[in-house]
Amino acid sequence: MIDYILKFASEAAAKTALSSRLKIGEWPLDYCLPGITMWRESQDVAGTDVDGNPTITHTPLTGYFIQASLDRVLPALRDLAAVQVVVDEELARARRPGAIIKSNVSNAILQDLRWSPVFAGRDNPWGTWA
Amino acid sequence: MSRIMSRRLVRQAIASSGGMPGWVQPGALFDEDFFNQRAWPRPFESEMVDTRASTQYVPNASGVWVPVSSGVLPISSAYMEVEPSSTNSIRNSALQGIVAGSPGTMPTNMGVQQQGTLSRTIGAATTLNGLDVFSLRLNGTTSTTFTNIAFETNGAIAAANGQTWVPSLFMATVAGAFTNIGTMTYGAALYDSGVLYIGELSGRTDFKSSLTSSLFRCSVSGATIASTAFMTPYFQLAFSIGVAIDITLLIGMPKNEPNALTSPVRTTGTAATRAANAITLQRTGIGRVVYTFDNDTQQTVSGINTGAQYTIPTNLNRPLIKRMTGYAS
Repeated sequence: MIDYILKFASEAAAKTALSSRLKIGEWPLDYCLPGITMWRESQDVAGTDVDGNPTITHTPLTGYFIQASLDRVLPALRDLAAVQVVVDEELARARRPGAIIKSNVSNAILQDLRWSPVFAGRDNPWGTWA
Repeated sequence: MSRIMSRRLVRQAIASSGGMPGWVQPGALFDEDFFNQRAWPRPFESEMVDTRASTQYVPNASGVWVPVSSGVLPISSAYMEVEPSSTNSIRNSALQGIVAGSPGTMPTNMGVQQQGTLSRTIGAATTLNGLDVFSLRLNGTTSTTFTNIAFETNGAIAAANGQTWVPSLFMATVAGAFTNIGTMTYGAALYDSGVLYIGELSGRTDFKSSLTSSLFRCSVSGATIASTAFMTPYFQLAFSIGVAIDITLLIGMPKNEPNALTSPVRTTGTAATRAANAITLQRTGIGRVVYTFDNDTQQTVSGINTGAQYTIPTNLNRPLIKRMTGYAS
């Protein structure tokens, strides 16, 4: 599967931008995860809860993020300005080169990015790419 | 598995070889008998396509869960499973980070609370019925009135007032006894925005009488309360102080999902979403479909637009379909 991470100003802006490409009225939950949370690991804050257990607090990045996953590279989607990164998740899972199909963020930021939730079955080696 | 697949292919080939077999419902345009692994007039994979973008666990008739990859029809040797999207907010249902031993190390993000003077022995993570499981032995003389097994760190799962949540897990008792253990309940603790405990998810349930040596899926559906900002699913053993207990539990695949119980979702460090099924027939002309479910009840969906390809709804009466038969009207 090819995973596309896109960033928009709002959910409404996302639907407007994607409506002609993904036939979106309501989010198609078979291949879209709308409103995912993205953060940078380097901005995490470590702490403890009232019981003394360790906690990690993420700092969500601003914007409205979605993940779309298709069985092919769709150039019209890949080339949108909103695209942050496009990943061949099977290559990523196999730790094989070429997993990053496109990235509009620097390599340093890409290795620092985390998001949640992911599609079940994904195993992205975030933070380990050279 | 290869024997099962071979049997399926042989039966489908027989079904496809011409004519209408005797098992097919009269008047049907197609008949998908998942329970007996036979299809007419063509194989399952030719009749339907699922665009689901995630792995999905599907049970067979023996309660063994089989992970099915993205885009592959969610069919086990007994059922096709059709469900809405669901997110497991417990980040480590795959039990990564576990270290066997006494006391050993619990899986990452999980913990034993109020253990007191009890001894704890953790077994290695293994697989049973297709699920990731580990064993936890608690034995000794109690010095507290309860011990909790928490499946997340406090403050990790966001929630809000007015929501319905369904914590679930698989559990069995594999050694020891229930002696001196009063209740064995499952549910979730609720916390405010400062991660201070404010109460419990409603519906906390005692599963002691349901637990045997076979894996049982404990699940609770409950509502949050005012000021809820976070929740932590946990299992609790309750007892008196100063009594002897010795029990070994097998624990697997904890899940915490909104709204309703659905199939397990394996997580390996972050929340994960099983995408909704979008299973579409690769034909038009179907006006009515009759579903037979795992409990042998039936549901008929009629008035289908015969000019379009029919997509199986994800809100059928039950998710596990034994048989699906389509008619023109």
